[in-house]
Amino acid sequence: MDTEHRTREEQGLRAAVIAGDEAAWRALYETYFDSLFRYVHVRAGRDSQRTEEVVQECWMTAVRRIRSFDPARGDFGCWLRGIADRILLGQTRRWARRLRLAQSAPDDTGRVTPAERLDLVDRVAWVLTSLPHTYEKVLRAKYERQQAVAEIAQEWGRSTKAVESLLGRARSAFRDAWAGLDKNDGIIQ
Amino acid sequence: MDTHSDRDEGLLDGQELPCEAWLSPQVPAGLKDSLLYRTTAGVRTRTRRRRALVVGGLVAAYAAGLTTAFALAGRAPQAPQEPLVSSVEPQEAAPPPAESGQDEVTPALLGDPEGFTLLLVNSPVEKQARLLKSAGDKYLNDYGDIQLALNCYRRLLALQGAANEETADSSDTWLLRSLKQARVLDSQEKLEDSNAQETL
Repeated sequence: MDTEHRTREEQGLRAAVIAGDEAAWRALYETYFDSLFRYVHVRAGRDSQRTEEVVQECWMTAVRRIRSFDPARGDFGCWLRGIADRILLGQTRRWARRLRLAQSAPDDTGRVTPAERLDLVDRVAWVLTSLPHTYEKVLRAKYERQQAVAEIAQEWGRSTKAVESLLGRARSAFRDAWAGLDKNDGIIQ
Repeated sequence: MDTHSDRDEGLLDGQELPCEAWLSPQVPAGLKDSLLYRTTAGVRTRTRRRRALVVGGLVAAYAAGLTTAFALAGRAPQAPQEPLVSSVEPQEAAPPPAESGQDEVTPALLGDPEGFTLLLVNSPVEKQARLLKSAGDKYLNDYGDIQLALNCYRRLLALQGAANEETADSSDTWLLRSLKQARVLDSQEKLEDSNAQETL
């Protein structure tokens, strides 16, 4: 789905949700629920309880503030991740404060979260979930489900050339994000 | 068709990614459905609020239109500029209630704007309200002068404030009732607007 087409579609869905169309909201919800869950799960340290809390708060915030979503600036998934980041940051600060109080040891590193070195699995999950929704989708199709480009193109109703181009961009984005983690030596701040 | 480069190109150069790297976390049972239900309820609430605003706006517009229509209705003969002879009584005037103080508002007083204003200024607030109401009633009922009646009623409502706008009074003329209703609807609409703004 090219950017312009995606933008137009999400503009229509946004307007429909604002007008009270439940089906439009369901369409957005079904499209992005799983990817948002994965995104939050990795960033919440794979803590199920934290993940559940953040995901719930994120979606409730999204339905209240749907007017502030601008499809021209990024897809709905990207906007959701922004909301999730703010919730995670606030939650992490509270948890870090509790941890410091519990341990009675001041944290003088100045970082909001404790530093953690990601293992390979976590790194892949982190990078994958930070990519735009369509990139993650095509990479999973290609590398997780081992689908051929032609097969993906047929399933998505797009041309082989379009899928190849998308796959190329997705790989590039993945590698850039991976390299970015390497610069921080796998430490997430 | 699967190209050679596509078949061979890994995601990361020189690094094989483990299968578990692609594993998705398990979504707790019921979370997705319950959250969909709650968020959809939020969409419905938004619809109801929007409809309430639209209906409130329509009612206010209707009331304002009614008021304007009455105000612009064919004018009856003007109120007398010179003081009327005090012995001349209106033919079909409604019997004045004892508490309204209509006996204070004589035709002579109505014909003497300066005298009327002086009387108002020197009267306590309660008496001012009575005088304005009875003057408005006389202009409307006895002389059919809607504009002068409106002037009196508007001054009366400004004097009494928002509290009395919601108080129904059986002695109110149709014009005074309409004015009160229009102001109440206007206030409600403003309150709903500010509530909607805060929520959104």
